[in-house]
Amino acid sequence: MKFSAKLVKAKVLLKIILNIQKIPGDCVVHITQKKVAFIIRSDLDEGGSQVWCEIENSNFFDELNIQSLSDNEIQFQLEIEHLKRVLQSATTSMNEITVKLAKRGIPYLKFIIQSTQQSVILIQEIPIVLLTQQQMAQINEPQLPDPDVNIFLPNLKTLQNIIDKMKNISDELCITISNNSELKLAVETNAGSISTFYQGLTHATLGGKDKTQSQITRSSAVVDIKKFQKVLVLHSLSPDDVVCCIYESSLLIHAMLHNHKVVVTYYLPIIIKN
Amino acid sequence: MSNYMNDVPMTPGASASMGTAQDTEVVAFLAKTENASDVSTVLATIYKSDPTDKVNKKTDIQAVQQFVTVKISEIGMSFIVEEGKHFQGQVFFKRSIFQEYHCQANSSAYVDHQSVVPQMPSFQFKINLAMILDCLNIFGHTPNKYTSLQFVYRGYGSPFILLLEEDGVITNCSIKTMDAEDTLSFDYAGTVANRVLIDSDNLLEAFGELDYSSSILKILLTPDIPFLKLSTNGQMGAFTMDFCKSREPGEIFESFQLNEPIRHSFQLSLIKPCIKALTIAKKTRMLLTRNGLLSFQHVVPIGTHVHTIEFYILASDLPDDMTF
Repeated sequence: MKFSAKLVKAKVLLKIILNIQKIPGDCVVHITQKKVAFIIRSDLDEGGSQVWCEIENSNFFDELNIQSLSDNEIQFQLEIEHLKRVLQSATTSMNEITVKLAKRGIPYLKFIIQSTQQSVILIQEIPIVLLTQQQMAQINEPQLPDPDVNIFLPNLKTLQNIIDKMKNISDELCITISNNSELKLAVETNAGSISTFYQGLTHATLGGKDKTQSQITRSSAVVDIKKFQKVLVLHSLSPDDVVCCIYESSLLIHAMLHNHKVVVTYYLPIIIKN
Repeated sequence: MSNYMNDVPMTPGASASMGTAQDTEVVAFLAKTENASDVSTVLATIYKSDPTDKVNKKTDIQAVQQFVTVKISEIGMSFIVEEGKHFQGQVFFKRSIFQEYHCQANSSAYVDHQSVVPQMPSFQFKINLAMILDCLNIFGHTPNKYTSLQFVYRGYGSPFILLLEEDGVITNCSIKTMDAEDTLSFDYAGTVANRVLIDSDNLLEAFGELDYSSSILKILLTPDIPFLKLSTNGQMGAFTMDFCKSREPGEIFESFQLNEPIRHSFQLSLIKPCIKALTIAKKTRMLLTRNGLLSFQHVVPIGTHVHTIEFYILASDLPDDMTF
């Protein structure tokens, strides 16, 4: 089993890590020839949140070398906090970063950080737990059908401002999406309610289907407001598009960064569905 | 939990607009302004957030939250905050600061044009101040973006509604109203008092020197040098600020009426909001009566309008049977 590469765009990767870190739990890393996936699933038994992030190797790695007995795929688990710290120290100045899989009794991920300006070499190691192909096969992204309604979310930073105030009112947020370009966010308690209405948003056409309907379809979901707030930190990645879909038991938020060739998908549990 | 997903209409127009077919009643009160942040800046001066309670900001927990009494009349809106019988903070928005202002008259109202607030408002209720401020600031503060604001009230028992709009996005806030108790009225006509009118910046500088770990602030207003003296006694030791060492009072006060030396002690925590308001005020009238009433009246210009913020604080060194 071999893996080595020069990491480029480390700052972008750091931003991605800072985002997906909002979901607590161990991070599964699945490296294939074309992509690397970062998967964090919290509290699966309790229907917790999940995040699935995919980056394209051609955009983040140079001189990539992957070899393994299982279709040249490597998968392992690590603590995302470790990865964050390594990337933080590696990006404080101009550095050349090499990452490789190594073993010294136990397997670990070795980062060789060479300053381009000084003759300083820093080596940082992250312990990892290797996973077998069979174990990886057990980890599946939720397979969901085409949703009834979906919407492209408006400016996330403004949404974040709104949710920041709404969370002072209630722990639960009700999101309503309609297929006539409207989005509503609402919180309510005995003391009162706050609702925000967006109009004129756009929808994603899924599966090539043209969903022009004369009937107005509307779907609502109640989610934990703090969990939703954490996802909104996605604005720091300046995503090109962020789609939101409501399913039976989860809320899906899918962000796409076109030029970096990155996708991040969050699955949040729904408390009440309507 | 009520079924708000079904009740609250999807399109805001149905509940927001005043002229829809379903809304044939005349609205009791309506006020519109193009700039919500002006209202929130002024209103924030009377909000006393508890710094020890940053975690539990939920509006349900009424014991922690601050309530404000709202009085609406034909000449404007007052927001009044009180603490016991010894502190009152009041903000008055006169009707002219609004682009549109409709208020049903109170038929039995007597309006005294000399006082800032009329004796009998058309509407009076108590409401959660933290929630109003959260609503006013719902879109955050983006430079060059203006949020328009509309207040709506349909009369006794109905919620107080704020409609905010920025960039085509509408937020509808509906806040429960409660019965308001009578607010304190501080009458100092006829009592001996010292008054000064001073540049708020100068006064802010004077208060800036204080040791805020002290619980008590002693204020002395006197016809002799230093005219105004502030003293604290906190963890840093005893601290005194003499306002003016040698000059004529007319050089530091825009106007003044200093009859006799008057000295009283106050809870510094109650003075803090008065000091904070100095940062947005242009001029401040400070009054101290022989009986221990301290008042600040701040003149706050924002844009083309002028707002008034008043504070009344009773001295903590008064005999228990002292009444106002």
